[in-house]
Amino acid sequence: MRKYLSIALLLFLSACGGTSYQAVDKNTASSMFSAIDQKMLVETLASKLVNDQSFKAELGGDKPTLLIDTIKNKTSEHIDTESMTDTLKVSIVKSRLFSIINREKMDILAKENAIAQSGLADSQRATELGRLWGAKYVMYGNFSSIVNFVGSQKQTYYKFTLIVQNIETGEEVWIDEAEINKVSKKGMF
Amino acid sequence: MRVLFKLGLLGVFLLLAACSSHHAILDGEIARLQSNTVAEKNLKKLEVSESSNDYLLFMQELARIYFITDDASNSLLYGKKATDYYNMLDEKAVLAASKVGSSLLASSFGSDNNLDYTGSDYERAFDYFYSSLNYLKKGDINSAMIDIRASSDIQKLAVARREARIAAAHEKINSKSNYNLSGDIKGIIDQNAKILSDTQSSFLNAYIYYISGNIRELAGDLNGALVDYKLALSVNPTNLYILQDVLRLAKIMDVSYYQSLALNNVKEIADYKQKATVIVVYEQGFVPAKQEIRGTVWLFDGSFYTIALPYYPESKINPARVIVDSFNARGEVQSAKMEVIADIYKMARNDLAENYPFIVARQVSRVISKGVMQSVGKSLADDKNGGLGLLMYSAGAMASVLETADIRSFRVLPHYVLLTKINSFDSINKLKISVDSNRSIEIGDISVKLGETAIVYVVDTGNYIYYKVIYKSRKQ
Repeated sequence: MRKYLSIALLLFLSACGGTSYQAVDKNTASSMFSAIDQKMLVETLASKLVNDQSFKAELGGDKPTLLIDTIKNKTSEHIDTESMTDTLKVSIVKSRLFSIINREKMDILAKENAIAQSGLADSQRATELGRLWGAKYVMYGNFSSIVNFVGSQKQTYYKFTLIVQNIETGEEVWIDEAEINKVSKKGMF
Repeated sequence: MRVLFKLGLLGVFLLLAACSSHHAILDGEIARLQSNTVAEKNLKKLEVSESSNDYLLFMQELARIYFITDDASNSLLYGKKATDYYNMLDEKAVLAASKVGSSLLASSFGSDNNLDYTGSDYERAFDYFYSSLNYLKKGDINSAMIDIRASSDIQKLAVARREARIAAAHEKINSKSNYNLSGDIKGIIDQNAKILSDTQSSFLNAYIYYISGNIRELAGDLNGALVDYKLALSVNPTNLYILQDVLRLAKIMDVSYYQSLALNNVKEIADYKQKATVIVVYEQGFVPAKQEIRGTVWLFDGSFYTIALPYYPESKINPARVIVDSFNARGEVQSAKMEVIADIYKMARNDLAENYPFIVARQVSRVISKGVMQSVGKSLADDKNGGLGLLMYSAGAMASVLETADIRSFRVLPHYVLLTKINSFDSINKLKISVDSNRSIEIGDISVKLGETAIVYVVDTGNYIYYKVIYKSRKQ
């Protein structure tokens, strides 16, 4: 009797059972951008910047002022680029290459907001901001992605570009990029 | 023995009844939308756990309902749950063994309703699209752009896999079967095969492309905007507003393309910097629900079983005639007729048609397995295992009789989408939107100056019209 009751119960319970999933390995198998990928990309570029001997020579060792502007998220995923900026800031402060400008003055922040919404191109906007804060250099970045579908796989190519610009001359004195390619292992069909 | 028989019936009845009806819940919510009485306590019914078969579907429905009722925060919350679920499906997923067993068992004896709802590309593109509009409503154009790009990626994905899916569908249609189907069922299958041959793909959405183009342009991405306008034009080549925008932007971005369009005598419009611009989007009604058709499948051994398939009937609803009057400060009026940019019901039908051969194959294989169960049960019932046999026989018989089609779909999407783009040499202070000459709404709290652009959303549920200003740009 108990056996039959069990069968009836099993049928009932299985009716709306649904399916649950678990990721195989979030760090390697996902085509989505992870926190580890983010850290790796930022640290790669930060390391390139602080260890670039010719760039160091150009700075002359007098710790010029640097304004760290935002990193623009141009991908199709909501990624915390503020956290990327923070990680970058930690590496630069540790390197003692620059004197980082602390953006806390409210009156200047109000003006900064107007520049941010002016619709200027990235480079022009960064220059305006740098002038506003009295910086010698301004740093800004772009984080972009391209999604492709090859056969039944989704491939996402992420690229992080970092630029340091001289405010006075407008010259981009340092630029580099780091890339990562993520591939989904699951077929699309 | 009688007790066992009753238990068998009870088990199958519970199996089939345990799933709450998606249609019944959504009918209630659509009625509440139509009477502007949507309440949080009722929406709780849709807040199912992630283990539910209907999780994705209900998250999509919730996001859309909250969008209509102008609750951008909740709409974003549920929209993200839906897109996260889709992303999880994209990855290499491992099915928990216990769930595989129960899910397969349930779908073997019940119907496709017992399978997890996995959505479709056009629904997924809408999830991102509405998320983008919610961000716009909150004034966060950068986040809006992220979801616009995600929506574009999904449409690219759909292009990538469509060809293979269509080829597989045709192969399935042409493959030899060891069964015959009753005439009414055959008719529905043929109708879907015709849709498959006739139409463009289900995912190509001029509406999403066109509004995406406008948002990209507002965010300063002119290249991206022109690409989206051109894509919208490729799907809907006669829409006046798309044509005008392609021409206007092509003149700035792509001279050769502009020249080829100019030859076609498309009326040129001035740059927005000299005008006050209002884009009015009118979403009409709701995508009609899938229906069920029942028929018979005969196997070559002479046995026959009940089969139930989903289908979309022909729509009896026509696009509304919508006129937008815009008023300047002096009360002078400029009128524009809205044009249809998308028929979402058509997209839903195309999507079903693309999947139809696989749905039919799954149904037939399931009724056969039920038949086998009945047959084994019958023979067991005659020997010493009579109890178990009778249970299997009754379970198989009941499941076969109560075979149901999977008629779930994203129902709160609009049936038609119409739009107009008003460009005025004067500021726009008020809008009046008239529907079919018998209903109208006024939007008096809009003030769009020269060089500014506003996006206005109107959702007409049939009885009640919702509206909101999604976005208003600063003076350029």
